Amino acid sequence: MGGVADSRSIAELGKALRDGTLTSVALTEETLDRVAALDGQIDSFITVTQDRALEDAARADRELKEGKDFGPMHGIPYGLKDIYDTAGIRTTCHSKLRLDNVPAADSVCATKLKDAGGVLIGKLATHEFAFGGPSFDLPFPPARNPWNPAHGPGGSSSGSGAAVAAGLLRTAMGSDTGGSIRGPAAYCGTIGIKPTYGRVSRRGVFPLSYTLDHCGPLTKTVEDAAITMQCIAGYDPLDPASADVPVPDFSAGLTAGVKGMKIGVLRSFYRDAEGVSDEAVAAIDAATGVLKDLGAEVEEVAAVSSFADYNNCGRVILLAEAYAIHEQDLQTRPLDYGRLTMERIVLGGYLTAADLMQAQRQRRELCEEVNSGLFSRYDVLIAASSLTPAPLIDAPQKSFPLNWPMQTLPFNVTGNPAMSIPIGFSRSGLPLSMQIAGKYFDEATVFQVGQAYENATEWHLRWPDMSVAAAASAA
Amino acid sequence: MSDIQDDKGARIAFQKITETLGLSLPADREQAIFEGYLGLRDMADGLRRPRTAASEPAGIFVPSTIGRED
Repeated sequence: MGGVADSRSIAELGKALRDGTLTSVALTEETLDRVAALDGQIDSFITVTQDRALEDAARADRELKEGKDFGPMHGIPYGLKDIYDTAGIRTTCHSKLRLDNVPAADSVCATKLKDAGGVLIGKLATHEFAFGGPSFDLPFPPARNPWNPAHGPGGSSSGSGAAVAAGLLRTAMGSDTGGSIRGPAAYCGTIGIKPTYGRVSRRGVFPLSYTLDHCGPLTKTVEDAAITMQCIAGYDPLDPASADVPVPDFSAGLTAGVKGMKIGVLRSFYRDAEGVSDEAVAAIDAATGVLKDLGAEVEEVAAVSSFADYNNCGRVILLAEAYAIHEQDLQTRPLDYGRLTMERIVLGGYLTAADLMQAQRQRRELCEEVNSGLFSRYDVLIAASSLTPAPLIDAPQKSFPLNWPMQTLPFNVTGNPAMSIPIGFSRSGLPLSMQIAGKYFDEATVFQVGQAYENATEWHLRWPDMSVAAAASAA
Repeated sequence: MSDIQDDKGARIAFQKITETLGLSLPADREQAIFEGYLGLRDMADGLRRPRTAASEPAGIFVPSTIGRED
């Protein structure tokens, strides 16, 4: 078992599956072997669904042989954050409260990936209920960063980020309420896209905050993200927030480049933020320079609301909605939550109805500012995904880190699509990243810009050497 | 929020709300939650400012209404 991952993309694996040089069973067995050999270093899996995976793979091989081709995901292994319901497979939310929860039905995303011929390898670690972590007082250990297991992978889709970065999976589903897809993508050096609110059904995914929750994939490359999005996007009349809008071909414009595009950089959000790393700022400056060299018109965005306006608004809404979801359990069994989760979610109870309405009013104004304002001038916006490289996993955490601005939260507040993409490495060898945000339901342009950057750089070609990670872990 | 203009007032308000919510906070977690409460109050108070009819939250997720005039 090598320490470095198979670098083939979903499209390349798909080609091999169709020209007879690879079978899904062989790919799945290799994936399962790699998980068994290496996941102990990063704890990205909660449940490995080995039997189901081998059944899915055998069926995929049979179908492809019979000429039934369900598209690019057919025969490809994937994973699901353990808040996605899976029929007959426990879905724990990484919590003592749901250790014995075995759903009767699949979440919509699980159904769509299954119908696309995907091979479910397992359920992935998360911060408890997609909120509290990294924590060491939960039924399962926290996932770790494959680039250095002494560091966290970000959250809350921690296992999804770690598994993809380590090359255990090419694609894994996460969820994003304040940055829980883009945060782990940033810390782990992967792609992570939060689609437009309403683009992907959330039905069957345990909620954190009804009006901020989004489902989306983490992948190694932009193209892999576009392929996964193609499988999971679409209207769901049973998800109250689902939007009945056409789904474009997300891969169609990947090679179109950025020449002539107008790109705004939200530099004021991160440039002077408390705790921001010089390396993070320099990497974004360099990355926007690459886009400029490729022919885009890049300029710093002026005269927008402060980051605090977005942050305050998003956090008040998130906490109020999360408390409403967890109210009964917080009253009756608070000690069954991990400490961080409990201390964070309970705060929502201390908000007033007027607090929430003021936040909703502010949200309206911020949506206007971004969509009627900024996106009337720019094709995409660039912002930081995180202010620093991944911190140590056991670094002390405040229960409610008000001074730690989540750079990703503004686009949960406004609902715009936003993608984290790797743009370099810190001196300590950890990934650096930026966000590309787009207009409503224009994920295709976000992918287009990301692909242009990816084609011009080589960050996505690097993989953590898991044999080195093993040595660091042992030390 | 006149109750929380000083630390003592804030502590009393916090305890009153905790009781109203029907919560039993573990003793070793109460201080951290109280500190979070103070921070959250600052954030929520920061949301209070003059606004126009355009800030009415209705229809916030319907793209066609995002740019409507007030």
